Amino acid sequence: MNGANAVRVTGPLIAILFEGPAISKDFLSEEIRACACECACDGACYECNDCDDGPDCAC
Amino acid sequence: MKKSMFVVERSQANGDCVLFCAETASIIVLNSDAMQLLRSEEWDKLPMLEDMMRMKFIVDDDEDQVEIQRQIRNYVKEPREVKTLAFVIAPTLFCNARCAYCFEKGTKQCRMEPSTEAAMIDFIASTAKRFNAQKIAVTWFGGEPLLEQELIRRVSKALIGVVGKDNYNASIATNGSLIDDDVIGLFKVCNITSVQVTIDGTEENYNRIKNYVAPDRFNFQTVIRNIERCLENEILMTIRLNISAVNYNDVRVVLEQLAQRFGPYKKQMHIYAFPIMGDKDDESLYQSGSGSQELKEALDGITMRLFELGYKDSYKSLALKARPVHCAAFRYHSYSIDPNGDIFRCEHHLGHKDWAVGNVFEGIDEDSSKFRYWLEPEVPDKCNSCKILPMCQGGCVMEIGTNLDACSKQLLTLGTSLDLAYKLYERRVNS
Repeated sequence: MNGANAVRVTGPLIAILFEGPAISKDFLSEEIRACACECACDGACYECNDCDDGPDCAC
Repeated sequence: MKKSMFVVERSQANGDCVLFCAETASIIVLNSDAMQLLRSEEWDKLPMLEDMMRMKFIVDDDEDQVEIQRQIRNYVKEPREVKTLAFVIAPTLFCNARCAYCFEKGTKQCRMEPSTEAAMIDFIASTAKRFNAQKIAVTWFGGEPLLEQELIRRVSKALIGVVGKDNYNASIATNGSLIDDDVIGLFKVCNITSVQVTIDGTEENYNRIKNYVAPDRFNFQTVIRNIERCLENEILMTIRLNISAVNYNDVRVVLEQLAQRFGPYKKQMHIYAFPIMGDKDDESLYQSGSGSQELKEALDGITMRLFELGYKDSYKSLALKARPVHCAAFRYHSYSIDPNGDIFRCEHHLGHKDWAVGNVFEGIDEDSSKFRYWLEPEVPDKCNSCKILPMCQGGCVMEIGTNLDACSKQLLTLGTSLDLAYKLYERRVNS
């Protein structure tokens, strides 16, 4: 896929911009990767590290 | 298969469409041909079907997405072992500023006594042991916490002794007026690595709103200089811009001033705007209900400008996140402690004893209705059909009955955030 200023191509195209942490529906047997330790106002992470998921976590 | 109920679409002028899945906070772009296939549910022709299913844009027909969200909320509300326990500590409710909007207005000003301090350290240490936490994180809060620097030093030392310096981290919410070189030294000794300061407007308006007790010593220029002092010492700065219907234009000006003065420190700074919360009938405040267009325009305006100034330069900086509960107060492990030793779920209740769920002397009464109130996994009925339920999870308890008692502000600004995501994407493909 191309941006607005690039040459466009035809056919169905999908591009991934950002893949967030998946919360599996089988979460009860897995660790929830997204924690709830960030401020709901600004998204600032309180660094609880409960997500244990490094830079790709919900924080 | 079906398209997820938690997908938000945002069309772009060239026919592309940005799709956001609130359940995983994932963002993708589809061209018009791909959108056509998605709308007509021609799954076998849709490219990257597996990726779209992994990111939950498409889910199984029988998947009960609302029930899964309810179970997720319930999960984090149950007691369990955690790697890090986070505590908010207000060593004092005294403050050298007198902001008109302060949520602690009406509470009895007091400072923490030595016996309370000792009991608090024991409570934190025993709680960490009980839940096998390896790390402790503290947010210093107030009042103005830097009025109690020696308490901060003592408590930090004690908690570092419990888990070790590498496993202890702290931040502080301060008005910034008391930060000097000695305080920078205190931050370093106490592992305080990030500082939040609120700026309510340009110099004249800031000084009027803050109404400091000694305005010749504590004022806008003092705070700006102290922000610089923190940045020079590699401390992460969060600047909160409190906005209302009467100060918005002034806050826009101060944003430009901050960007100009602290331009080289962009990577160390997180700037965000938040509407002042208050009386529902106060016309000087933004209303998040039926009159939310004005608030939306204000938040969008600042978000766009932060993007243009380079403060939002990645998808993560757009702060589009899924969360299991609305905020930390709804997790089982949530501890905000005031100078009396009372323990609250939400730091905005500090000093309001009727919201206390326990104290550092006797612990938390986990069977009390006040404690269980926060662990109720249900959300208002209207939320169960909302596309961003996984981001909001029912909203803020504190905002009920106030001018902000309506849907999440994230819903207001989501469209603009997705437009910015597309701009970032265009930058990438055109570079």
